[in-house]
Parts: sequence; C-alpha cells; structure tokens
Amino acid sequence: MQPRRRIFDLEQRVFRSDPFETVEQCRTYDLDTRTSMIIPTQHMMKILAPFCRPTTKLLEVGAGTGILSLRLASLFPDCEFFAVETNDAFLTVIRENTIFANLLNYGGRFSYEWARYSRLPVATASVDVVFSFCSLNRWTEPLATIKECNRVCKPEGLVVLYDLARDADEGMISFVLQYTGANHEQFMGAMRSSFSVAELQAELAGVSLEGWRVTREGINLIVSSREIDVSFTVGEPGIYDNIFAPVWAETSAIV
Amino acid sequence: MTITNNITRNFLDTPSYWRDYPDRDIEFVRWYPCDVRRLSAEDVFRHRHAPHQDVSFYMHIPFCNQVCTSCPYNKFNTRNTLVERYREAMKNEIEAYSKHAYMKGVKVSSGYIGGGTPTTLRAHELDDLLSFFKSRFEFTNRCSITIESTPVDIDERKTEVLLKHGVDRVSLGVQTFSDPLLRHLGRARAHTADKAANTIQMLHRMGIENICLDYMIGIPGQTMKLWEEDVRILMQLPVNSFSVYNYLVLPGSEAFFGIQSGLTPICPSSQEADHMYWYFLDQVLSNKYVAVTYNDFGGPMSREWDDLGVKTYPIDPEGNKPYLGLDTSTFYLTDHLTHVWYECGDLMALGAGGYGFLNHHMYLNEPNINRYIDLANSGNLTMTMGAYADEYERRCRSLVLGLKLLRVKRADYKRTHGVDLYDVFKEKIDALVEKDLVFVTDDAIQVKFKKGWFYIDNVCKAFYSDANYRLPQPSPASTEILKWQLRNTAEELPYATS
Repeated sequence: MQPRRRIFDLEQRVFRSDPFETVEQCRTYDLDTRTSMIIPTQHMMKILAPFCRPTTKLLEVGAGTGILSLRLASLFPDCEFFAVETNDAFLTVIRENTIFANLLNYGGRFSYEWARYSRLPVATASVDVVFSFCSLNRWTEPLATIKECNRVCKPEGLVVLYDLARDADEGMISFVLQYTGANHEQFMGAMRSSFSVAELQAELAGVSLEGWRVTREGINLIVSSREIDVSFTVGEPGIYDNIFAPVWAETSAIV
Repeated sequence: MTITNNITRNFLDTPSYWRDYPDRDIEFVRWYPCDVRRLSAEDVFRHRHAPHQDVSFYMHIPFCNQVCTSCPYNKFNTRNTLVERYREAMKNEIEAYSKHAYMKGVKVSSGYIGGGTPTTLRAHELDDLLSFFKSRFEFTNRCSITIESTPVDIDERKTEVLLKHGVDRVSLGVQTFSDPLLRHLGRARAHTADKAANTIQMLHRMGIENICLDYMIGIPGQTMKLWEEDVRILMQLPVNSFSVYNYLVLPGSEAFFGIQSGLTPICPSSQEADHMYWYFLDQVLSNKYVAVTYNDFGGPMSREWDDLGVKTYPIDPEGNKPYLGLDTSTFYLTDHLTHVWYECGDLMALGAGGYGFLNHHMYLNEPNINRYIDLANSGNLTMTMGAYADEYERRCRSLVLGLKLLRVKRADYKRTHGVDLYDVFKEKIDALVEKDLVFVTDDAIQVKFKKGWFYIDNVCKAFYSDANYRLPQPSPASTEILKWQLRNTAEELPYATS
C-alpha cells in the first residue's frame, strides 16, 4: 500500500506579478467571477453583508473587475463603495461593468480610481470596511498594502482580505482544478502565489498586527482585523438543504 | 434592507467532494483508484498483469441534440461534420484495440454505450459503427449491450439497427412524466410525457426486451404529489429496470442562475428529496422489484428470470420488510456491473472522455474531442490519464465499487483476490459495523438497509487506500490536473518554461 504522495508543487510561495495583461483576459476573469467562482464570491458577500449598514463607507483594494463592489452596492444602496485598482486593463472592465450596471438602474453608490496599493488615496481612519477579494496573491508589496488597509480603516472598523490558501487540502485543490477548464493556469498561478495560513500569521506578527485573524475555509484564506464569522458550512450536508432560502435577511442587520 | 441568498452553500461549496461520517458524502463514487496521473497506452501495457478472457466495453458518444442544464459529463451539441470525424476516429480506435496483443483471443462479454446521447447518431451511422465494432471483435453469446437514449432521439429505424447488432437494453432518460418539470430541466421541447410513453411503447413493440428508465429526484419545482404520480406511471410501463438519480445544480450553470433569478422554481429540500427516495423505494420493493444498487432496480421478478437462474437475497434480513436485492453475478443483464465493479474485470473504453480498466490500470481517454480524433486517427490508443491498481488497490476497488452493488460475497471476493475480505479489511469493516452501516455474515459483507444505503458513498470511500484518501473522483472531461502534478523533473512542469 502506497502512502499519499504530494500532488502539487506548492510547498514554497512563488510570487508572480499581475498576470492580467489584456482587457480580454480581464473580461474572461470577470465571467469566471460570475460563473465558476460564484461560490467564493457569494461567500465573500455573506461575510461582508452584516457590516453593510446605512452610511457605511467601504473600500475595495484590488477590485479586479469591480463586480463584487457593484453587486454589494446594488444590494446596499445606502452604503458608499470606493474601489482602487492598479491594473489599467481591469479598470477598463470596471468602467464597462459600471456603465452596464447604471444602464440597468442598479442604484448603488460606487466609484473607483487607479491607485498604488501601498499608498492608498484615502485619509487615515476614514473607512468602515476595507476588503479585497482574490487580489492579495498579485500584490507586489503585500505587507505594505495590509498596513495601508489598517491605516485607512477606522479603529472600530474591519479589514477583510479573501484569497486562496496555498496550504489547502490537496484533494480539494484537485477537485477545483478539474473544473477550471481553460483557466487552470490562472488558478494554479494564483494558488502558487498565495500564502499559507502560517506564513501570513508570521508576517502579520512581524508588523505588529498579531491580533488579526488568519483562517482557512475550504480552499480559501481569510484575513480579518478582528474575529468575524467566516464559516461556510451548513447543517446537514444534503444536497438540497436551504439552498435557496433567504438566510441572509436575518443576518444583514447584525454587526 | 434585506437581501436573499439564492445560492446553495451546500452541495456546491468546495468540500462537497468529500465528507466524513456522520456527514453524508454525496460525490457519487464510480471510479477507483482516484490518484490519477499521466498515463499512456505504453504505460498500461508495458507489463502484462492480467490474464483474462472476457472484456466489457464502454463506448462514449459525446453528442446531444439538446444539452441539459445540469449535465456534468463530456458532451457537445450535435454537429454533423464533427460527428462524422468522431465516428471515423472511433473506428480507428476500435481497429487499434483489435490489433493490440493484449486483446488477442479476447471476447466481449458486455457493454455500455453512453454519452451524451449515443442515439443522436443517425441510423446508418449507428449501423456503420456497430458493424465495424462487431467485425473486429468476437462477442460472447450472452453479451448484453445497453445504450442510452432519450425519448426524442430514438426511432424505429435506429431501434432496428440496435437489435440487429445485439443491443438488447435501452436506458431511456425520461427523468419525469411531468411536462412542466421537463421544461425546468431544459429538456428538448419535443420531450413530453406523451412522447416518452410512446417511445417506450415503440421500443417494446419493436422487441427491445429490456428497457431501463431513468428518473430524477430534486428537479426544480418537483413536489411529492408529482413524484407519486411518476412512481405510479412507472409501475404501469413495460420496463424491467429503472434508476433514480439526484438532480444537481452545477455552479454557474444555466439552471443555477435560472433558480437564483426566480425564473425557475426552487428544488425540493434535502428532507423532501429523501422522503421522495424512501417513498419510491417502498413502492418498488414492495411490488417485487429488486434492488441492484441503492439507485438501480430491476424486475419485478418473473418466472422467466427464475428459469434463467437469477438469484436474489434479502435486503433487510432482520427487518420486517421482505425486500429483495439482485445477486448480480447470477444475471447476464448485470454482467457489466459485476465484471467491472465487483471483479476488477477488464473494461475497454472507447471514445473521448471514456473511462476504462485494462491490465490493472484504470484510465481515461483523451477528453478533448479534437485531440482525441487526432490521436485515434494516427493509429494510437487514446489513453491519457489514469492509475495503476496494484494488488492492494484492486482489493480496495472491489469493495469501493462492489459495495455499490450493496453486497460483496466473500467467496467471490476470495476467488478474485485470493484472500478473505474480512482478513484484509477487518479494521475498516468493524468500524462500519460499529456505525451500523454494514453487516458481515459468513457469506458476505452487506450494506445495511436503510442507514447504509443513505450513507452509501461514505461506505464505499471507507475502502479508499491511504494513497487515495480524500481525493476527488477524476473528472471525465478534464485532464488539467496533469499539467500541475509534481513529477520527477522540474522541466516537465508547464510553468518551468514560462
């Protein structure tokens, strides 16, 4: 009987610079976010929803195609969403998506601009919620950016960074990889460029953010500036439980 | 402000491929081993391991006239030029197998033609393909061949062709006799309850003796009342086997967004779906139908089957219900399952994305249809991914897949593997007995009714080896995993050169 071998070359973090070079690549990623990545997208929305109270100011760092902020802005029109992105190709797609959203009268308050993540164009302690979604793995200066997120966030506010976990179960990585189709290079490139829980914990401790939480949930890694509920499993694991029940309605007012 | 969560967090979250008891696993185990890697025909046949005489086949025809909104298999919309090229490639693949030294003297003892919808091929195309296949291989007298179809993709001409070539069983994807539910499934407009009933009658009239009907539980909009009606109709039809599957909402699929947007009604809850399943089970088993697996059934038992020597066994020997299971090793119609799942027998895979098991290797044919065509047309076998099953893995495989048939006889197991299954897997079996999921007698290990049936994938996965523990079932439509696996040299990794 053979023991389980290591399947993937994920022991060391291999940073790769932003792989999205063309607008077309970003449009493809946009479609992925809305289709094959819909479950993590929903997960992130579930995490953020309880903090989207009226007048809340939210900042998305590395907004990609802007789809997450646009969706949240549509659901919470009393909140103010601001997004920054360094990649011009992504900014083109954010513009396209914003035009389309306005065409459909989505009703949200959302704006965006180009910025360096290590020098966010936002006043200190001015934002209620700072968040990023599957962006951390392409940050050239991740710790400097995290410190910036901490700077702009109000003391009682929240920072949530959602990305892949390089130390996720290899069986689970195999499972997801099998369904990435033509996007397997993007997925595995991001995976290799992502952090493990232990690595990020050590890095945060190195910049005096020991109180921050680093959690692995499924294939994802979630960093939060304070303890929040990031669980993503429900009750009895049948196929059809509460699939389409309005479970967020009760939680959206809770902070 | 209220928002709604219209997305399943349950089946579709990533851990859904593996759950440990008491969580119920729902992955639908059908292949083993799962520890797949790149595999060529040279790898498979480098050493001759398996003395054999009979081989089953699986032929994959990946075309559908209407692709359903929830299908996870390797399939394409029908395109005539592609179908033609594919058929020629498959003939080349058949030719290559027929000339292979490993296949010398081999007889085909059973087969399954699936997809896709294989009967999207036109009658003359089916005739050409099957004629070619039969001209290149010898078939046993009792060789049973099943073909999948839908109520709208088979007619009298195609049926004549199938009968001519010994296809004696048609598995019909009826899903439901409710027209509104069929629309929610995205079935072709022409697929209606009336059409399904007429097709079944046509197949029966034409002489297809074995008609299998597929039903689905969990369809958007399905209610217990509609399900009771489906079960009632089932009992009145001239079919002698049927299967029931769970409807799956795939992430990002048309069905997924249809339900999310409210255009499509919601699916039954898992409690409702379970209730439908147990109701169905009580109805069919109390009417003398017999269980083949937890979701496949045959019968009702008849004099003719008795005369053929078909044996049954009590599903619940200590219970008060006289329900019976089918001893698949006693019935030619279930030879395919017995041979492949129970005995680790050879299975020849034909077609893009087909899974096979030859010479102790489980393998997947190239799923990319154009690459498949190129490979087959160059005279090669199209194996591209798979795993070698050594003696221990074969012993595992016979239980992982064999227990899907609800019972593995110790004598059969010993004949195949030379050991008693309890001697090899005492610890694992005792743990399952402890959980009340299986029981062991002098004759067999059997899945406990009803609890073990409910946890059938947990039961099967209990026999995964350490090398396969927590690995997903290989996808029949993807080989991307190969490009990222660790191998011996860094040069082989795709990112090494980029």
